[in-house]
Amino acid sequence: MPNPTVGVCASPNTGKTTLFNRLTGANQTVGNWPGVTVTKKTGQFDLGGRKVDLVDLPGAYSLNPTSLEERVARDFLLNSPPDAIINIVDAGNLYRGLGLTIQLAMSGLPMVVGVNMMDEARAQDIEIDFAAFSEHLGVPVIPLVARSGEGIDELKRTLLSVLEHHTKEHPPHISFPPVLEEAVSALARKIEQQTPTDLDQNFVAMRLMEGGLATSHLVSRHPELKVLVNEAAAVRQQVEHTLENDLPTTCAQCRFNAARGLVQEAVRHPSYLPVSLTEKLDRFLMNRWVGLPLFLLIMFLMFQGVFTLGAPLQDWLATGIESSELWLRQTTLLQALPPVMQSFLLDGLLAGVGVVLSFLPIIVLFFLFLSLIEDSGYMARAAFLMDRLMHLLRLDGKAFISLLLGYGCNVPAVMGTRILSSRHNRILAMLLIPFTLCSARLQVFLFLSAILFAPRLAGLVVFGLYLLSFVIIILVGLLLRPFRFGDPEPFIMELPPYRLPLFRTVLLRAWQEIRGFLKRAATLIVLGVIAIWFLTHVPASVPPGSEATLAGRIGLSLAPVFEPLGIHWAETVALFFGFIAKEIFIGALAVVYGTANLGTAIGNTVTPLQGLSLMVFTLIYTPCVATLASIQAESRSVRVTLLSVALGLALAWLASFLMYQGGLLLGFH
Amino acid sequence: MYPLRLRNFRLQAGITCRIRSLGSNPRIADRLAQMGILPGIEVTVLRIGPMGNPLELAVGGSQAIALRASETDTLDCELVSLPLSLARSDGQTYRIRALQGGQRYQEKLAAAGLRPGVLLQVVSNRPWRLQLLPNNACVQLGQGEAEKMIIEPVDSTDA
Repeated sequence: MPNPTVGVCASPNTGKTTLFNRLTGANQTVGNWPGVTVTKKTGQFDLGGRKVDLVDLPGAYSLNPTSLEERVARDFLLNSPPDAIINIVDAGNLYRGLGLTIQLAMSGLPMVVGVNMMDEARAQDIEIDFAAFSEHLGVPVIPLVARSGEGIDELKRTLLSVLEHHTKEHPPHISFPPVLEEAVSALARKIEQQTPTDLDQNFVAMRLMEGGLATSHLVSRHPELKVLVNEAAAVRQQVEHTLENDLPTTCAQCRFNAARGLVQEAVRHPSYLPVSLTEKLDRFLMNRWVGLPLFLLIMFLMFQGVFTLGAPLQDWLATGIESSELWLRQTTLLQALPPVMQSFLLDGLLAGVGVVLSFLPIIVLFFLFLSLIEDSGYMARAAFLMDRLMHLLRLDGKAFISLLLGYGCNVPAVMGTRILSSRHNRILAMLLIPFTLCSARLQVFLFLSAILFAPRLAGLVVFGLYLLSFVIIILVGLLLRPFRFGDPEPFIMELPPYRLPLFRTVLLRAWQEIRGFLKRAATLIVLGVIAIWFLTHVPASVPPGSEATLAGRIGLSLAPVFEPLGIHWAETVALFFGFIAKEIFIGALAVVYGTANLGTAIGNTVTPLQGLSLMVFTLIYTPCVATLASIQAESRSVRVTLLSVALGLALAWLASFLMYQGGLLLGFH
Repeated sequence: MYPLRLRNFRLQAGITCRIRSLGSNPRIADRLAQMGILPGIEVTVLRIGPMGNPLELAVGGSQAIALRASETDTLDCELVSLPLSLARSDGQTYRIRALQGGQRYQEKLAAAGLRPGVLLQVVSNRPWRLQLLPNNACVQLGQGEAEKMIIEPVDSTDA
């Protein structure tokens, strides 16, 4: 007998993830729902001597989807109804949460409701009558504090008895306008005659009337229902005409009336509510004048935290890779191999692994800080504060954090786009992040500008490149404004109370991100590095990066394209290397020039204007292989990844062209 | 400041209004409805974002939400109440709906005859001079006290 499946279904900000972690521990798998970029978590836990598969459904306010996440949750319940549902509501946000609870209870699936954050409710003297809740909802309702684990045992016991008894649930009866009530029960009777369903007939009738995807999912599971599809649509039209209101709104109206009644009956609020801690904090953190400066300060601390803590860790890893390369070079096994194989193993494979490893420290640190900001409730405030500015680029306020992080490193910034609220926002942010001036590019610019410009000017040049990066992001944002990547979703965001983040949840998150990065992006990165090795080291008879290699030949044939930019053949080849990681550009240039004294060589062959053009090109041209691999892993769309490359190359050429030709016209050289 | 509007009036922090209809944009109306923000619900503007957008709304009995002016300007609402600090001296009669201060504040105002349910008119603002109805007693309040007094407009014929 297969393991029973239990779905955790709840509105956002109810502590769903905390409960999921509490039940499954670290025993979970993170993936994607088929066909969409919504994270899917599954896990297992023991219940009464057998294993239960737990599925974490995306946060949803209702089963009438208005977002991608809600659609995924609804489709799962209709396509593969689980053996039971765990629904969580926040004791401090009962009215809104019960809207979904009532709808789930009406599905007729076995279900347990956990009223979470009871500790906060008790602290506010809110009293809840659980017996009344259970009676009206027709399902067991239990108090819960998922953070501390209080009530988890009772939740498990209740779940076990719900799973074992398989008693047909009695869905709650909520009052609908008579015309809708009659239409639904007439349709439900016909459904009963056609086929038995594991969902309540009234619930099925309402989903059939909804039309669209809900209907097609039901029909693919129960082909007998096909004959009722047209009738359901006609009934809906008639009901909507009579009520002069659309069906989902009417149903929401009825559900929330019931929810309000339930809250009034079962919950006792104290007569006097003191100003909450959240309100006190928000008076500063969300203040019109000091809110933004405080936000920028928090961002500065986060940025510094990630990159100053990360840099020494990255250095250690780099030293480790280097010494293992030295050691490997001397092993007899490697000495016995032909030089091509040696080079492939060390400069291709090992270099690729080195690139992957070098990202691990900052990914861990970034996600530690990000989960602190998210779990504390501050993320919603950040989005609120930055929304006006980011909306100019058709992004929401959270995207600012991703973009800002890009100035340290593009890879975690792209991974962090997952916190954004719609697919459109995620893709757009992914396309903008590669234009940030990351620390790898900064190394190249510091080196080149120090050689080509007087110390006084060199600083200005780097500052100018930062400015250019802002300008490019705004320009690309405006350029992409008319495009829609995915269905537009309205910006309506809850502002949850501030809460202390749980150490365990934060650590688990960082660990999952590292695993995800290794699983999804690492292979692509190593393959990319090997491809570049191939281009620059084949044929093996000539020095790497020389004219006779594949990259050298491509560089020569591209010479006419790069000539108007003032970029020489040798630098074009070094740009190939720069695709592995932008800071490699300098070392590669030394290899191509075949000199140890790179400074003099560059000083002799590159004019300041050509150097500027080269730096502009390096800033914009294409995301490094690790960033591209992350874009591919996050967007799951080859088109988006290719668009990112094409956009970068086209803009880089254009910007360098304007820079170089403009400079020449003004008499610089 | 960027004037924020519901369809029929300007929004300022402190104002409470009752939703009459969710407006003509189905995407926004659907999302609001599925979050329990429906005709008949009262919402209070808690604060307005820097640069005038978005706004934070308190919704009775549930968590506050943030939305953009572009999402609210099709909502049809009626004014329910406002803090005294936003009222004008235009002869309109108001009823005190709530006193949102600590015990000392409540006691001080009660001593001056200001309790929930009392009717008043605004004579002048800053400082706030109020005329209580029906006995026409006069009370003067400071800005901080005016911000914590929530009043609702009433038809003077009701009074």
